[in-house]
Amino acid sequence: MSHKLLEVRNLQTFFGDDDNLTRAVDDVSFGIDRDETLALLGESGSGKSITAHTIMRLLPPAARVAGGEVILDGQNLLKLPERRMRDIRGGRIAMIFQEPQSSLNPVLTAGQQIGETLARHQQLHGSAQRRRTLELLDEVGIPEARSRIDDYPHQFSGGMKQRIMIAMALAGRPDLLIADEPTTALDVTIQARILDLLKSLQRETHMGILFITHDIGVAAQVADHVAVMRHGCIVESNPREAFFARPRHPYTHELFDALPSRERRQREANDTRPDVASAPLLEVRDLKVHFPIRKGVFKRVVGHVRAVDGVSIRIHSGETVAMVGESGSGKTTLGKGILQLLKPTDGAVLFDGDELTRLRGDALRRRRADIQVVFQDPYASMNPRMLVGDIIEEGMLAQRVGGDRHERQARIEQLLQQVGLQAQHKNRYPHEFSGGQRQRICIARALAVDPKLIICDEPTSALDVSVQAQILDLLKDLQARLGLAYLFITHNIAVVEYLAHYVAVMYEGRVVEQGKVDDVLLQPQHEYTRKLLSAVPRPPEREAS
Amino acid sequence: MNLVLLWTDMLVFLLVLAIISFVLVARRREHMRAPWRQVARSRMGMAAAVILVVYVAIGLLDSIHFHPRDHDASADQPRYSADVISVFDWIMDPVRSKVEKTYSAPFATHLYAKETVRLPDGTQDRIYPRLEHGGAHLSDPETQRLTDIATRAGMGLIYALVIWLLAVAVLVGWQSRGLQQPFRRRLADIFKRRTPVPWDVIIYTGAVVIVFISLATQLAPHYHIFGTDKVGADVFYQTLKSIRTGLMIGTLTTLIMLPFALFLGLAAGYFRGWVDDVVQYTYTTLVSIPGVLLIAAAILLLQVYMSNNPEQFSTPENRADLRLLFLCLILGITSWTSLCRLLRGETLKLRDIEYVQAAQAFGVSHMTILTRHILPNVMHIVLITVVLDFSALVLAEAVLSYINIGVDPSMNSWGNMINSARLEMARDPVVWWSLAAAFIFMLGLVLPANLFSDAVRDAFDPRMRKLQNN
Repeated sequence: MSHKLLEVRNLQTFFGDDDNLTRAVDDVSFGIDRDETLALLGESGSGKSITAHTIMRLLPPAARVAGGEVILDGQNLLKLPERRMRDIRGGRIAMIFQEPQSSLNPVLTAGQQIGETLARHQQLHGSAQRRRTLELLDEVGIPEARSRIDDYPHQFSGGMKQRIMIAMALAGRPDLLIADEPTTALDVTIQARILDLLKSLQRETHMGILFITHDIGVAAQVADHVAVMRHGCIVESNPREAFFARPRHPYTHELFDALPSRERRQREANDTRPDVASAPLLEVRDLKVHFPIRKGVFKRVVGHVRAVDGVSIRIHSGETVAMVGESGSGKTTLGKGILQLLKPTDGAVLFDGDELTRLRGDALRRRRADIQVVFQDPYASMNPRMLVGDIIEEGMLAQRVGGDRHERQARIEQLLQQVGLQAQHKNRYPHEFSGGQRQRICIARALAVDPKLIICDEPTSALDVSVQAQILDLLKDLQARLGLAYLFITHNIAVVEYLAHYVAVMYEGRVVEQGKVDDVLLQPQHEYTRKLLSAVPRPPEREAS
Repeated sequence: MNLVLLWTDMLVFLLVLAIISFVLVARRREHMRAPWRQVARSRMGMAAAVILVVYVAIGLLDSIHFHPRDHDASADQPRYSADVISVFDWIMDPVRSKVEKTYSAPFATHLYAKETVRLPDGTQDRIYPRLEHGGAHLSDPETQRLTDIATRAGMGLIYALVIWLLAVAVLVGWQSRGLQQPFRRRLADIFKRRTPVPWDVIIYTGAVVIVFISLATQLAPHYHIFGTDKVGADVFYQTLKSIRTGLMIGTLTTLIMLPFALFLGLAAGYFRGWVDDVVQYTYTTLVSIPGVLLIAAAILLLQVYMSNNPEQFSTPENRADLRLLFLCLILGITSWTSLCRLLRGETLKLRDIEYVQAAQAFGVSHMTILTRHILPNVMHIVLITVVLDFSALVLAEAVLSYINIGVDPSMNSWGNMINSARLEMARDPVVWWSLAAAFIFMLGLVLPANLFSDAVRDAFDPRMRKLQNN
């Protein structure tokens, strides 16, 4: 008998039946002690969330546990009747999820939702319940808990919601906390605070934490022990120091190598040198995009949301300019303002001598070929009811380029090969491709009209690390061959280090700092930039192998 | 034959053409075929579809109208009667032409009301007289009627069995040739439910349908299966004729409202701004007018116009037909709002989705974006609404005719039958068969339509699909 808090032995969870069997979790074993954090690291589809759901016995109906044991303090959870299991959930094991937005009930106040757990697991009611709720809110760092306890979820920010989720999880005084990507939906500065909070709570309550993440940097910051999952198996499991100093499994090496960073950029040395001396390709001067706030019967304008408030940048051909900022900083709106998808309130967008904000109708339509866009969500950015070939052809038809039908088809095939797909893929539908392949198709679609500038709006943030690396390489490669300029909108500093020549940091609609990438990232001048950079979780250096 | 094309016939065949061309287009597109394949795999949906096919066949046969040739005219000089009948009337001629004096019960041989008749010996008596047609071939109905009905029903069952076996043999034979499988293996596959499409359900439902048709063909020429009405017309024939009216209301109304809902809904959602305001104010105004009042006013208006300009309507059929079309039109105008609202909401969501923005970044025109990107992605909503609305509209017709603002009183419809049954139910003894026939046949259409629309919704609604995958 081991003395660990939680012991998972040879766990197997399968989907489907004999004909169509998916081994989501296949022979997974690990243990977590009190005061210990185990980081379960893996890419999407590796089975890390299913492992957590199996421990909680919250599997979808299609899944079944095919074997193994989950032992919590000597008790096999998989054998317990459902009624006893309900006491375990929330009482001994608590769970927090990725999306704080959808995990909280919007029609109940924060206090009611925490109180529910208190009533269920601690039998606390009335004023005792309220006192404990206030204590919990204090513990998770909600300022002025007394005045906020009766607020509804929508009155809290994303980070605050996640704190409330943590307070709910703590309400049952759990021995084990399962955190399923708790910071993935949050900005990096908020992520840093939530991670600190979890660590300090662990010191106080001595709970064990199973921390599920795809981010090596986050794992490095929270874990005492790291287990890497792939295809439902744990391929490597080691204490933190040993894991980061001497990763052993080839897949772990792959993961580390895929991380974009300054070192990797220097290692590869396939950099392009933009021609900064000549006139800029795109010049944005004091651009403002304000959204009117209307109220009343006649929709009078009562104020403005200043999404972009006076931004000036220059992009030369062959150059990558990164626009860095957290969510709500206005970087996506800036991209749409440059593309003229949103009408700027004020300012100028000069492209190759043309003032885009003044162009109308056909003149603007012709100019659209020069600036193209790649979006964040590879699933929403293609019409699910069109063939890939038609999707790529659409721009050529609209711009009347690419010659006749046969020439266009040849061009589509060539484009698909250029982005690393096959010519016959043009006769398939988007849903037949993975996220990374879809993003390649989106790039091919943008390239179809021979643009000079591509605005990349977080093109890799929905992708796994290894796929992200491939897409970034493709973008670099295309830049070297075609002399493209990129405006790269991202929140990921590592990607900026790897890809950008020039960087601008955006905060609340304004650029607070801009300059060459090394200058800004190594010697940040503005206070916000420093805060942002210090919040980025980084894995420690590996020993040279 | 001298074909007559009524307005509603024209629209129905337009609809049939549209459906055929849609099928031809959809066959080549995987994303359009996939949900229909799922419909074809639903057991309940396919059973409902078989019954609906029979209804539609009757409705379509009843939509080919012509002037029949006059029987008195000589062969080389054909003359056409002024009547307009349909192919279905022509098929049903043995039933249609057998008109009694007044009410008679189902399978009766005597009238339902006593009459004073002059007996051969010169005296008068009040008796239930024999029917002219119903059971007229029997010499002694008291003793022979039940055995005669039983023999004919037995014959009907035997015919049904033979026809069903033949149909199954042809179907399975055709499939086994197509799949290059031995006949027996295909047969075993079907009945052991190893085919993706539930052919066993189709075959069983087909058996039920064949039995009913075969029984009707055996019995209807000799008896009034559902009795006769006040003027002695066969109720079975009437209720079958009502099928066309029900189908017309259910389909043509949608056909009329669809362009409004699609055009206005998409325009409001896509362009927003003042277009959205105008569309929204229009439909909020329209839904705040009580629908029944609007329909009553419109129908009354038409009635006044018709009685003032009788010269514009050559035949009573023409008149009734135009009133039916007008009813469809006014029902369409009052019912497009809910679909329009749904489409507006969905378009609002779609216009901000990234593939639409990518198309805008290419400078694709608004019209192309609407037709290529938005329309195909809201089609599932249109389809689900159309099939769900169908049964509601069939029922609406019954209610409207009941309060006398529905179809023309001369037109056969379930609503009219129910309306006349209102008085019959007050009689003593009660005349129940008109109401019963209308009820059974209406249920026979609406229930399968609802079951089928459930199957369609399950297949097309993305949320339902997600539920099933989990």
